[in-house]
Amino acid sequence: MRKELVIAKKEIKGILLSKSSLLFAGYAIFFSFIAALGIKKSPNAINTAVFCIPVVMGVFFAYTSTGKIFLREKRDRIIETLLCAPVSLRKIWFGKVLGAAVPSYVVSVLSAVLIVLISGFFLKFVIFPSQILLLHMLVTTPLFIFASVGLIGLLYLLAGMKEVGAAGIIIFMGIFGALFGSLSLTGEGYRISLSAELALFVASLVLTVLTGYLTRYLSRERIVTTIG
Amino acid sequence: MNVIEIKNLTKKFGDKVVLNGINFDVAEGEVFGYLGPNGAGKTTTMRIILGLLNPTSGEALVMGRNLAEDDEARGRIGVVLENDGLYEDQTAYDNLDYYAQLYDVSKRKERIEELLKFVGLYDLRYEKVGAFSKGMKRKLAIARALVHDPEILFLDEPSAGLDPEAQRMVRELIVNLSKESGKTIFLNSHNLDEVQRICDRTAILHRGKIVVCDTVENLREKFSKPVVLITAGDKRNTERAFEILSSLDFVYDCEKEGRTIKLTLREERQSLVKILTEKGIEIEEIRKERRSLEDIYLEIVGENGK
Ligand SMILES: Nc1ncnc2c1ncn2[C@@H]1O[C@H](COP(=O)(O)OP(=O)(O)O)[C@@H](O)[C@H]1O
Ligand SMILES: [Mg+2]
Repeated sequence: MRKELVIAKKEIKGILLSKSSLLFAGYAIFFSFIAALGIKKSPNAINTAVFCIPVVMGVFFAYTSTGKIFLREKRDRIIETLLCAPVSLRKIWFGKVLGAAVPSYVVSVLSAVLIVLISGFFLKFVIFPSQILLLHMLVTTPLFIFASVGLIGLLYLLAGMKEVGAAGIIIFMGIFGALFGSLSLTGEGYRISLSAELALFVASLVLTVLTGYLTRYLSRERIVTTIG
Repeated sequence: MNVIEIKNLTKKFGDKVVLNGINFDVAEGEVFGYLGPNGAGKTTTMRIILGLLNPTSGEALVMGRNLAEDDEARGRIGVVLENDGLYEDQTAYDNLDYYAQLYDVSKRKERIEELLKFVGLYDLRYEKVGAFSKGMKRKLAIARALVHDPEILFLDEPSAGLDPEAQRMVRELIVNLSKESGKTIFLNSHNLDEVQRICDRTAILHRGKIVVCDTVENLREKFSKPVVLITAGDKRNTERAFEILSSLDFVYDCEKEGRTIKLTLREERQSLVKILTEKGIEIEEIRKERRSLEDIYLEIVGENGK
């Protein structure tokens, strides 16, 4: 198996067995339920709900997972042993990013499915969001989650332990800025316009490219000397 | 053949010079003890060798390669660092399996089970590592370091933080490993006694320099012999005394520094003064010195502790 997949598999297993995945399953049910109450009154609101809730759940889960996968291993200096393995730094980073991003995307899809199911239960018939939201769930959301995890994970590797906390919050706020910024482009009557979707897609793409560029600053010395 | 070569290695952190031009080699199959008090720079040296830190100048080669830039070469060494590098929320088996996959080990299951038996943790293979004692964790970390059958093993203070019984077990493990597999083992230690017991050769690091580097046997021999310091009256007397003393058969080693001659004797002799005065040499001072390797190391450690 490719080394990045070995790393990703181990991290995914760790995440799924952790308490926070149970907690997030609970959140997903709770927020889908709240959303469904709104959708019961105006069924079109399903579009806004599926636009926002899954990606927010996904990014929140990603943020928690990234802390576990990157930060804890670095703080406990366990990462030094991993850095001695015959695996390039980029692969270590990428494997860990996948490890956090995949379960986060699962949480995200789960939230979307729950919104549709629970609101269907309230309305006594199943309604689906508009087609743009299919694009949203299949392309933009995974890319957005991947980009966020990638950037935060990279920062955890490159920065000192003190800076990381503050910077993580700033990035996190930036990510939500992008999300709600694109939401403000939403059309009338809970319709998600193509421009809103595209705005979020482009933001995710830029974030991904930026993160990819920043991986050139990865170095073993940087990781090892920013632990203390 | 030398499998580790340290050449003029210097490392500074800001203005602080931790390693100041150190040199030494480690030969294939050797158990090499890198000795020095806490804070001497042992871990820093090991990190540079492993490619985790970049040297300020000089180089550290392993099998002729620079591990910082060579994934393939890194795949031929095993490490147990200060921290065991184990995942506490995973089982002993899974910890080894993760690294077995990262190092492309074939027949993983057999290899892992063989190693768990070797370190005596086979019965606990499905237990989470978090529940293990420090000694068990260290043994598991050693098993992990061996999972891909590396050519060289790097151990950073393998017995530190363990109770005496666990220390004994870990040392035994290292000795057996060296005997049975002939692997090169490079270990950091602040414990002279440990190094004398399990290592073939040692280097002592002090104030950024290597102060002693020799086989443990040579050092033991050298430092177990009586030493006499003789100061002659003037330069001419010193020269003549040096000549006479060098030729005596019970003199093991003879060094000159200024007007003082340092003699290492094969055995205790009372007749030195008589021999020299009979030849008409004026002696200003003669002093016996008995310094063991322990004394010297304790001085270094004591000084460092201040
Ligand atoms: N990243 C770093 N930044 C600054 N100083 C460091 C760093 N790493 C180690 N040092 C300093 O280098 C010296 C040697 O440390 P170390 O190699 O850990 O010693 P040892 O392993 O022999 O106990 C210590 O004084 C330590 O404070
Ligand atoms: Mg150390």
